[in-house]
Amino acid sequence: MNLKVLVPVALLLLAACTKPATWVGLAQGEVVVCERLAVRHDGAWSRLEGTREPKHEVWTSDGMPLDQLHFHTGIAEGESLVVVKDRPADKPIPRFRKDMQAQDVVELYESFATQDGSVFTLEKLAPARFADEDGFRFEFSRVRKRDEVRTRGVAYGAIHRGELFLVAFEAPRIHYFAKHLPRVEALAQSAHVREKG
Amino acid sequence: MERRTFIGTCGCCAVSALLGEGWAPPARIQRPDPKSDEGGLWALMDREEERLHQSPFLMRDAALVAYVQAITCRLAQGHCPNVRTYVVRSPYFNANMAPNGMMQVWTGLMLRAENEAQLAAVIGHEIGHYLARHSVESLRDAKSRSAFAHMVGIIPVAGTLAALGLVAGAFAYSREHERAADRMGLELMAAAGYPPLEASRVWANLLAELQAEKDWTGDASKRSVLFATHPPEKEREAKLEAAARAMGKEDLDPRTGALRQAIGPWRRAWLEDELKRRKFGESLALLGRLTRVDPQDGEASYFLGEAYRLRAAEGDTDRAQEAYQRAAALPGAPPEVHRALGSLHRKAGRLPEMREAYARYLAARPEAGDAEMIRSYLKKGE
Repeated sequence: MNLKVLVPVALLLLAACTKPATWVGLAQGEVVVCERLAVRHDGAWSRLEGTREPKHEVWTSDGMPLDQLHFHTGIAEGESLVVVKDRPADKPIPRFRKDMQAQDVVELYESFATQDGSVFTLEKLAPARFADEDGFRFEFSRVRKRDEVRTRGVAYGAIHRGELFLVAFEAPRIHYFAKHLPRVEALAQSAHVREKG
Repeated sequence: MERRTFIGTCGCCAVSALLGEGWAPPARIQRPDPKSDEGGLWALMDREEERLHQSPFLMRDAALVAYVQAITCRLAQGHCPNVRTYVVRSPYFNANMAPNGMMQVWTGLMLRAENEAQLAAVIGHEIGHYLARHSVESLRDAKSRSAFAHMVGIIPVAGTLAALGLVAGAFAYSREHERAADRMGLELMAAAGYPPLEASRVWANLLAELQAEKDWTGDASKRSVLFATHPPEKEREAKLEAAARAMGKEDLDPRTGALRQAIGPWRRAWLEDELKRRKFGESLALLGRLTRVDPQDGEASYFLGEAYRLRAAEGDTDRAQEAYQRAAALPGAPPEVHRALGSLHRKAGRLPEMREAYARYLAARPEAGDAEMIRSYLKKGE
């Protein structure tokens, strides 16, 4: 590590501090995520607002390091799961294609979950109803690079009229994953697509 | 921290002339006074080493670790008891050595070495830094000390792989250090019975990978930290080769089979790690080389197909299919090659071929995590 590296990192941190995203508590009941996916929930969730991600939303119940629920809604042909800026040209951004199969979508999610060098393992992939479609459900585990915490995750996905809808929950495998799993399953089961207005 | 390491070059034609006639490794390094700056550095590294023991990225396969440690010992000779080798699961080409004798060899390096001699070339170079105590010299250099202080201040969670990379990167060796370590590495290789010429081949292969990146600009220093502190890379490769040729010993056995056998049980997992870097230019160059070296290598051929499929550029689907089909007919290809073919057939609407390929996958992996998903495709495809 030298100063050539440290200075840009410090500048990036400063830039990130100027427009902070904030956590906002959600009222129990139905919420429409990114205007495209309606879900019912039990109220014990907070949503990160101010992220400038029109098709990606993050929720948490006990706080971000302990659990995170990601919604990716209405991802169209050629789009990535999250907004990617200034990616080096030699590292192509993984993009959604509407002819993707379930395994391809898992790999798309995996590339998002491992961009920091984390280790991702797919544990199970099976057909499942989701968002009014014959979609799929997958389970995964991950060793988070940042803190080397071992996590577990579950995700539901479906391609609806050529657009991808994906809900993924992840938490440390000790305690927190099992604690929230039934709530996440119920939330995923309640999901319905809102057509574009 | 992806990068730092290894090759400097010999600034002259004969290694012995530079190191002095009859160069021999120094006496064993004693633990420094804890109150000295060197002692403080050792204490910091001792703590990192304790944490490394807990890391999920540490390879714990006893046979694999013993294999690498044996290479280290062959090179380090009398210093062997002071050097502890750790194999770290990370797909980047890297090895580093802390002043207290903690050596890390990353799996991305082991995957890329064509033979044991090439692995020994990199380990020998790192041992060179250790024997010459370059990290202490770096620490005493004012510029590095300032960077080192910053580094210690910003490590987010000490003991993680990321932090260890930062620690390794803090020893910003000068060009002179790199050249000296390289010369010692060649000497140690020759003394241990490895052909020194293999050192320049490691370099040539790595350079070929980086050059293969799609948007290659012609300036290697922009591609990788590896090149940042080194003289022009082509010249370096040539000089290293010349130095090795001057030493002779080209007929020594590079021990190709020994390395292949040692990494065999892990190669597949490491190739998967490699593709997850999403540096497809580099991965395709690596896999192209592996399939050229051994055209009967079904495993490499399967992963070549995977690299094309994941890159998904114009024409890559056809290239992937060709590689998969070649792999499916070769020994060593994993059953997943049939799943990959099944998916291509399914997308193209070739249902009989899809059914046959998926059936072969399920027959080999009935308990696969995605078996239920594949069965649902077969049901719908009936």
